[in-house]
Amino acid sequence: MRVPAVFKRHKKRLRSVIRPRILTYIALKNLFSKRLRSALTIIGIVIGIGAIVFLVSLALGLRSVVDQQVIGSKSVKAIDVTTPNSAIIPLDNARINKIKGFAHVTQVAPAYILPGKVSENGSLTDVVVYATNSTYVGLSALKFVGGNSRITNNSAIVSTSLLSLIGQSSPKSAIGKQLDLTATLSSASGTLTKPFEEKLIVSGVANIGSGIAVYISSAPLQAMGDDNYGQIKVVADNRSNVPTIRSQIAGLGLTTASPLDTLSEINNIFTIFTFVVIGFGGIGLIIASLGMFNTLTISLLERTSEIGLLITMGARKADVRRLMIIESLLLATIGGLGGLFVAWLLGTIIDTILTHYAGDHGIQNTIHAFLITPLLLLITVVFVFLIGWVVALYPSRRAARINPIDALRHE
Amino acid sequence: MTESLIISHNIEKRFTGKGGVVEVLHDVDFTIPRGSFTIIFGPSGSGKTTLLNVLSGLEPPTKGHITIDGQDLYQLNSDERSHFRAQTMGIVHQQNYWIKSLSVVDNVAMPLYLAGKDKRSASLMALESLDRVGMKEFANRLPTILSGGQQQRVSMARALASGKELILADEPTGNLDSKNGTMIIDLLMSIRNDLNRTIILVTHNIEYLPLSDKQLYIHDGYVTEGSRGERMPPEILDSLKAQIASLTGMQEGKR
Repeated sequence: MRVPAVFKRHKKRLRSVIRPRILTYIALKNLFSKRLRSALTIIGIVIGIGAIVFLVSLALGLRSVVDQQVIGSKSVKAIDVTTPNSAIIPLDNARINKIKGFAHVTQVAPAYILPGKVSENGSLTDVVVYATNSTYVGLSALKFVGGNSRITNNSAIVSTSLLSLIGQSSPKSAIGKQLDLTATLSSASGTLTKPFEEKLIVSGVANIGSGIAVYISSAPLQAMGDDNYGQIKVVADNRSNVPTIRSQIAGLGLTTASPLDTLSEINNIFTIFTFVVIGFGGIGLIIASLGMFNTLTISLLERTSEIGLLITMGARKADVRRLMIIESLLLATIGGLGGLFVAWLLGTIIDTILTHYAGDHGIQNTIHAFLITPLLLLITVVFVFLIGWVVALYPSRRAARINPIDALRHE
Repeated sequence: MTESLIISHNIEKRFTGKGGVVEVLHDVDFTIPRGSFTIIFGPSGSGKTTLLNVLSGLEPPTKGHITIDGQDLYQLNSDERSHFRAQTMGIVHQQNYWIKSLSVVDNVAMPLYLAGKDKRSASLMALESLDRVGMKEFANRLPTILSGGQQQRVSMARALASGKELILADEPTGNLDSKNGTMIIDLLMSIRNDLNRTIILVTHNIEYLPLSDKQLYIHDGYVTEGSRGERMPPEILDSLKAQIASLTGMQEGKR
């Protein structure tokens, strides 16, 4: 008997040779051959993913609606600055100049806030007078329902509530009307100086809710030599610099407020809400994942001899593992896309119903109570892949460990 | 001198189970020439299938070496052996095994897929192979709906598909009637004669022995080599006589 002289070692490193498209084709064929089981598993995933996406999109949509209602068009880069005590820490030009000197501050717009009275056709109404400039008005994000936001020395912007009190129901007809305004200007020390009286033409009407206010130019007051402002608006170059500027302003003894405070509170509430809805949707998803795991495990047990056959024909462990993982990913992907579609469809239907309902009650805006953002889409896709992969880990490893001889006997 | 495709050197195989150690193959030495038709012949339980499993790289021997085409099979790890199997050998089993969700042509193309062929070229080669065994018209059916003889022909087409050098057939006629059995053996012969493939047929059917170039007689795990025209080893002959006597006794008992 000849003894082999050289036992060659197969040195060439083995690459995965079976094409992923063919593995996908085999996996699809197998899933299709077990239509009912595959369909039930996919429905489970659709419900799980659909529930999570539906609920999270509801949380995101409501948050967006609330953000828009609370913040409106206010700039999140603006900081409202007031003084806790104008007698001790007046909001004067000296402090304004210091604030202007801070890094990342782009605009500073001061406003006198004075008690005043408006007389029109013999009626006298108490108002809050904001004596300021167009920058301040712009940053105040007033909702104009008539006229424009420009303030000159003899024009004024009035609130809709004030118009109602003085018997003007139409904002458009109020434009160009004359108002007699008197206000009392106090000095920084609190000592009364002199009353301020002007005859002003209404140039704009803004809806500020129930507030009764008049916006006038600050130029006449500044000409009177007073710099005891009631509030200033400071604008940062970037939202991220707002906290730094606020702490610098606080260092001057002044009080600051920002729409970011409200946003932060809204975010906190909705973060909790989002986690709660993810928790509820997650229960469905866990059940769906268990169903998927069950399907794959049963499929593996049923196909033990097929896997044995694949190995005898030349399949490697990695090929068998990949086949199982691809099957799982297909189930998860089809279910995930179905879930996304169902969530989008339900959200769209509910938004349409809400919009119609709101329209019947005089609200003309389209309501978006459900919001599927690109990030939510991305997270869902990644999550679906992760589920598909994790669920397939155990069955695929088990499949790769099958002994082909035992497996063929299993038939 | 004909070149050896397979060299078995000092192969031993033991199984350890609850009942203790069972020695299935003892010191098995043989060579199989390239392009030959070899029959592994022996009674049931003699170790024929175990020897075939060792030859195909599915069952590592307890001791010894199998060299196929210069490659020591068990110097390779299991993945490398799978790859080697995909490149070198086709196996025809006694029972028909299928990927049940796939059509006949996909089943035949499967070894080609596993060897890295794309779907189109693998399907074309599979159709060619099906044509050779006269089963092309069944290409798009599911294999499980075919008759036993048809399935075995498709199985043969699968073993042939990638032009592999070595065909291992484990009692392919065992579950077939004599007509289908003869057809399968004729197919194996034509594959050897026309395509110059090396065939190893495991059987306990004495009728096929004259067709082979070489015989490996196996009895209680011991292998004796024989060649065309040589007499059968006495222990195999005795075993056959005992089987015939046992069958005759059973027939008489029934009467």
